Amino acid sequence: MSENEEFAFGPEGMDPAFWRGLTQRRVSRRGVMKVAGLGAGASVILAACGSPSPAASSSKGAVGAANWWAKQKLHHLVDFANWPLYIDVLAGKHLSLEHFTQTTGIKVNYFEVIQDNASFYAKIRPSLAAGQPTGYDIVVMTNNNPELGYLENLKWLVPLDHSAMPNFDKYAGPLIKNPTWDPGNKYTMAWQSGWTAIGYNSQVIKNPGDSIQMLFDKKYKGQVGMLSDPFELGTAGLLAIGVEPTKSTESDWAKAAKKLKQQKSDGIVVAYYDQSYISHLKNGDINIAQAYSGDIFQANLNSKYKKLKLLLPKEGAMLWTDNMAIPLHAQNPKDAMTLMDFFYSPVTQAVVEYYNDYICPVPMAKQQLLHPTGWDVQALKQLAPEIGLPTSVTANSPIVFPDAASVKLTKDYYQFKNQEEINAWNNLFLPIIQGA
Amino acid sequence: MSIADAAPIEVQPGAVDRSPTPRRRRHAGRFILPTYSWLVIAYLVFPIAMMILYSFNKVVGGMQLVSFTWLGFTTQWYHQWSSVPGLTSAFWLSIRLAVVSTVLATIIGTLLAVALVRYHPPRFRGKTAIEQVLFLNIAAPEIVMGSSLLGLFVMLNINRGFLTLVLAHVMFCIAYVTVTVRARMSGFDRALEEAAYDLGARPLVTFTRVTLPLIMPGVLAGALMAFALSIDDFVTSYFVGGSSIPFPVWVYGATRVGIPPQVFVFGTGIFAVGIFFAVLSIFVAKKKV
Amino acid sequence: MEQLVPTDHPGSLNKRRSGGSFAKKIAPYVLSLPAGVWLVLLFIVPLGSMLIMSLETCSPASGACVMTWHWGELPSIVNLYRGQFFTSLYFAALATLFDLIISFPIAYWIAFRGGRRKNFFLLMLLVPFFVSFVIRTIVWEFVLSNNGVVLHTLKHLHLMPQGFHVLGTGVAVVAGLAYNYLPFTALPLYVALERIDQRVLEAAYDLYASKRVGFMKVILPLTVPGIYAAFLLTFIPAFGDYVNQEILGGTANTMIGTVIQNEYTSAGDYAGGASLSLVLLAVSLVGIFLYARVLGSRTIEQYL
Repeated sequence: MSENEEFAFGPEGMDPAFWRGLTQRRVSRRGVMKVAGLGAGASVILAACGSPSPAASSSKGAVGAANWWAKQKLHHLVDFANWPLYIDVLAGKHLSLEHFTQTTGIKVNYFEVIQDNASFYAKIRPSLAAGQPTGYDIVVMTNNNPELGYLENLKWLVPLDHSAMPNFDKYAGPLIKNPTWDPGNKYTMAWQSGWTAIGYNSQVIKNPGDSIQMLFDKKYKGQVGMLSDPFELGTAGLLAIGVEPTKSTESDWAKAAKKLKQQKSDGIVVAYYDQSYISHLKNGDINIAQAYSGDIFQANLNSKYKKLKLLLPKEGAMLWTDNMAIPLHAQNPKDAMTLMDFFYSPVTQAVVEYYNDYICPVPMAKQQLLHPTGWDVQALKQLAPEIGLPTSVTANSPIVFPDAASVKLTKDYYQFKNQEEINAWNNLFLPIIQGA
Repeated sequence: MSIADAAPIEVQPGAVDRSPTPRRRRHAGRFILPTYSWLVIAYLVFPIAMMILYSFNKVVGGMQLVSFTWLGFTTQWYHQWSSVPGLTSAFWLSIRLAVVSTVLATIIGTLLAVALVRYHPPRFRGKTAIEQVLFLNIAAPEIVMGSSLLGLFVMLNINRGFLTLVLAHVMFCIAYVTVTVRARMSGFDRALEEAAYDLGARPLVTFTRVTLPLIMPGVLAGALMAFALSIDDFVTSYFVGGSSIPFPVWVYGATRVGIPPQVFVFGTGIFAVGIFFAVLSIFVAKKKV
Repeated sequence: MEQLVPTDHPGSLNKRRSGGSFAKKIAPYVLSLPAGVWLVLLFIVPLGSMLIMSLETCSPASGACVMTWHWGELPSIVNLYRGQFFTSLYFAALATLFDLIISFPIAYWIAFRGGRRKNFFLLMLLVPFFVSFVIRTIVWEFVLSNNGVVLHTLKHLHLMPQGFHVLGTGVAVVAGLAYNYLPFTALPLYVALERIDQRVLEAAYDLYASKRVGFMKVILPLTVPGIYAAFLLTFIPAFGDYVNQEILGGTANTMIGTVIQNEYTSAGDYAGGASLSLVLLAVSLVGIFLYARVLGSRTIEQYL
């Protein structure tokens, strides 16, 4: 064990502030921080084992401190790992990134390598644990999975340079500024948000109703697709049994699991999907699915798939946010900061959002979409034939710039307090997904 | 694993004319077997035909993703073959990986094949052990090899990327190369080498001037097999690739949101090149007979 | 391929050179050194490290593993996923069985009736290998989808109820496995059939054996090693497969390969993944050793 081991894992005394969702973030991280056990009876593991963790060594000049940032130089290169189909694209080129390169001289290598939080985390984790660069300067992780919390708690992220995010300070929307999962935006800036709600084929489902019970209705036997993300699946179960996710208890989880098991054994569920549910919904393999808001909007761009509709159930639409962060040992942190802040310019966001159709982190982008003023004039014009809709449709869409009614339906995910809770959750819901 | 498994058969000289004159053909069911066989072949070819066909399918509106509704003929995707940046770089990565792995595996595997054909237990202890390892390597489930390699790399803090991909690909190619080269060397006439020695040629000269040209067809078949194995490998690459993403892994990842039509263009291209070499090797084999 | 006499034993001329210089003595070891080192370090050692890893306990957050000598972990995780093991065994066995049944006639036809076009037919058997495994499976996904060519047509003709679906069921997974591994079955069978000495068969017919008897008493017994090789080369990869299940499968047919893959690449639980991998390997080894014992480890080469 190295001397600067900071995070001992032990079942007793975990620090709740470590877990996302608590409003107060601990200021000092010195000393042994107990995080979480590894499930019942697991022995104590020292997480920092073998990790040089330079961030932890001292506060002065530590990674992410003001004087550390002052020493960083631009390398005119940034490696950006993101989820697929999540940025404007035209004939293989990303207009927003090209504009960024033109104006700053920073070349962006854009990798669409994140398929889901867990597998991407499993991919970069060994490098981080070994104190090596992950190969990416920016990664995008979702707040509704444990991995972003792991990264924060293990201090595997570079604290942001708050002197270098003027656009963020000026334009970031209330939904994602100072969020519960990263108070004060110490480590992250939102990329996009979205709802997990219900998508359905309106040609087949004539009377969808307004409730999440639709997913559990026997008359839709063999037509429903659920998400294979245990956190999404379990949350849908909680909503269905009428429990507010943020206030749920382990016994609620067990009830939700029972409900989901019943749904499975009744033959209602065809399969548990990752994002591939959208192509199955398009193909007609399923007619109803737990769905991400932006996917449905994007599908609607094709006249063939106008039949797909999004329903925000009265029990609640789950709001999640994908967050940009700089992993520890990133080679080009200053370039990364520059790029991240660039996305908070309303002009940039207008272009990205015109393609993306998730919930925009910059409310001002709405005006920009309606009345473009900068380089977006040209870019939006170029994108128009590809998108096939006027920019006003995006600007006025309640699922891109949420209206008051949709915001009212919005709910947050349960915030795990420790690893044991995560394990308990997984032990309830994973067996449903990975049934033999 | 793939193509490789059968390459030695299809290019096997002498395999051509062995079929006996069929006897007693005249019975009622004489059409059953051929019809059946053609149906099986159709079944095998069907998804490939679909792939090629749909690489010419139009896409209407929204994101440019493959749909299996026929929307009209277009060669657009062939013109824009490189317009999906991630896919193109994954493809080139696969090519680089296959080339490097093939060269290494062919050299290493051929050397081993020579040792196995030439030397025997009293002079070559451990030969049986090596043969058993080769057998195990070929028969072991790929997921076990891939996952155990990932475990090892992580344990040793080896960053996963192109290097680990090469290490892994060479690992699973060696056995196939060795087996192929060895099968070809079996019919190899040692007397020619002996003659060279008797004429005073040194071992190295004998090897490069006599042995190598003689075993070359086998070496090439082994190399072809290694290339095919490497370029199509998914399971091992998925585990040990880290941030390096070869073509099959990229395609697998893309299935979650839908695959761009360019995937079929690359698929068709790889298919065409593969068939070309396979047919070529059949002709070469035929000429030799 | 077909060697009645093992031609790779040292030629007689070689004898007089044996016991030559030191260089000659170490030659076999030098030649096999690179391959030996490569295979030991990257094939044998990882398998060993898997055993060690299966006894460790890993943190889901940091991934750090420490040795805890949890011998109890292995049986408990195997017990937890025994259903998935049985599903894999069952699916792989079914797929192998179908492949044997489907490919025997065609292998027979090519071997005995292929004539001059034998190589062409063999190439046709191999055709799937020229397209990436993943792409082939994706195409099947589309073909078997509810509005895909097959189901849509059948439903349109009212030969199938509207709600019927294939994707997501075990049937789709077995079909995918059977398709993807068919050549692995067909080729060894072909090799075995092709090696049958026609004269033996002729002798049987000359002795008034009927076609059926000739098949049952001559052809089938001589094909047994090929059938076993086909079984081995199909069953083991199908048993460890997860791509077919992930792309074509649904709720109640998770295979052990999927679980192992998830343990490693998603949950990041290397210890659990290693334990399951070990069991998968052990089951495969039973088949491999049986084969090696009965038929010899080298014979598999003839069928590759």
